[in-house]
Amino acid sequence: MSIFVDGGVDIAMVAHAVTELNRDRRVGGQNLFVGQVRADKHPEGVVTGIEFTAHREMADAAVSAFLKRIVGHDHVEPVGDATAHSGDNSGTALPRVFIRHGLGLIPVGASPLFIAVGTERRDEAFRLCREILEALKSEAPIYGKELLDSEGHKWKVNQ
Amino acid sequence: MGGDIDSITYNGGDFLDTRGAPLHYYCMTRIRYFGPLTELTGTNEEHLKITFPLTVGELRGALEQQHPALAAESFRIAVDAVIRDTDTTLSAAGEVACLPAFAGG
Repeated sequence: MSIFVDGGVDIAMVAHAVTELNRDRRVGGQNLFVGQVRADKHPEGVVTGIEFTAHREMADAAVSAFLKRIVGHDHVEPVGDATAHSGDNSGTALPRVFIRHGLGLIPVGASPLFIAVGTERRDEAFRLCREILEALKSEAPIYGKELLDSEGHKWKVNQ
Repeated sequence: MGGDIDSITYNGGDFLDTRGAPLHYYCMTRIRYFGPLTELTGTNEEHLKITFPLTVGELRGALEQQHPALAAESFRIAVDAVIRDTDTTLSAAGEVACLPAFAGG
């Protein structure tokens, strides 16, 4: 399962994940992270959007590797519309993990990244969501070209 | 190199001639550039004639010869989707990816 979607993350994907986890009677906590393109002010201009690219095969392999390390399995769940659901979730591995990263141009205010984790208890939900986020930023070959209102650009650097 | 070659053996790493010496051979190799390196090289990917076997460090040197601007850049090299150490010897490469610092999220 690739984490990549063309364009930004659709809020319907987030709604789907929440709904899907609501239906899982083993889950006691959900933690969601939705990244958003910020209108950073650089001396060269203000960011209007970010154009994301990736080495997709390597990035998906990196996600699989860090999920095994952090979560204990590498199953990234599918996300469709909010009405699509699997019903019986008892066979799905816990913790449950949803990750999507957008590719292509994503304007200010839109979301390039979405992570949802469903766990039995809250501490684990907070911790896993944060660890997945940091691993994604440091281990997956993804690049962002910040487009500026001056019509120039600047390559995104993770802090 | 040189002399008649009666047979070539393959030891799982280098190709060897009848004297057990590594054979040098070249392949047109797919090189991919990511992030800011696409601007420095002017391309997302290209095919370059690379002579094998060589180390990852030597491969980097070959890329810098093609694109001198790469010499000042910090990036890692992945061969067939696996990041390799500088001193790793390569006997073949299907795809070389030049990866500067990641910036997802």
